[in-house]
Amino acid sequence: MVMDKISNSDIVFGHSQGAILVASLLSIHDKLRDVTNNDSPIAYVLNGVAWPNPYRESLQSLSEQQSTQTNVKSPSILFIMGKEDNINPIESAMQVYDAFKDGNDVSIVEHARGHSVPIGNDDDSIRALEDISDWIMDIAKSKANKFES
Amino acid sequence: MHHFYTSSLIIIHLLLLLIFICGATAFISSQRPLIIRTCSHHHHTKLFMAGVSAITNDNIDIRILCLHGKGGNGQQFVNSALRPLRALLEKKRLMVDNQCNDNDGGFSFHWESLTAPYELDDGGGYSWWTMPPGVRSYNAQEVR
Repeated sequence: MVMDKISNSDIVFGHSQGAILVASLLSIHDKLRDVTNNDSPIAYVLNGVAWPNPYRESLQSLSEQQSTQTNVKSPSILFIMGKEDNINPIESAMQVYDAFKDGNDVSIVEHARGHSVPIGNDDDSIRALEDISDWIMDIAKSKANKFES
Repeated sequence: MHHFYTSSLIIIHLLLLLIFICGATAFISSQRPLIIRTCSHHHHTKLFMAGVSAITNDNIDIRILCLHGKGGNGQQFVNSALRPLRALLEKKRLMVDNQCNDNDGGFSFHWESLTAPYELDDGGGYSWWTMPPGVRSYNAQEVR
């Protein structure tokens, strides 16, 4: 059911365990890493992700897999990382980022707070929220413009 | 005599103008209807003259699927934790929509969520998998 829902989405936003789930599924399902296939999301947001150790082999081999794939357009992935995240430390999130960074359009929004999605309750959080929303708007506009043309 | 001639000319010109207008109206209405371009909140349409098809676009749905963390549920995640982000996105979306640029398509965000399958023992929501006590994703050997 999760895969069905993912297939019918444009963007998947995972938080914490939800983000770990998304990272795991991305590492084992080739079709989720190819947006030319219309059954897959075009973008993923991972907030407070941690290294999913049971899927370490598939994650570690991603870079190699992606270098051999041709005619594949990768999704855009945004990592949101809190410097004070003591539930899923930023170092663990960076491990996941490193697994995806080759061959993918990958970005990071870092903020000064902890594990939660930024809510805009201070200047840094407002800035982070702006960055996240701008990224999502770019994804939305690219899909809308594709339909217009 | 002169006045009669002038008045007749005026009447003839008016009649010719009327015939032209009627003819033009008949021609246009026999083609596809004119659609006036609007910049409404809900749709963009384009103006094309007779002989060219008119295009109407509804807003394109941008479907965002939200997967919550351990504890809580999908609905709560979308309605609470994501509320500030959703509000900011809607504000930006409306700004883009109001610009009504011919080159940009209109879009709407459609938020969906799933709730994880495993209920936590303490009644504090749901999780996507179970693990033995003390085990975390980054040191687990398997998921259940």
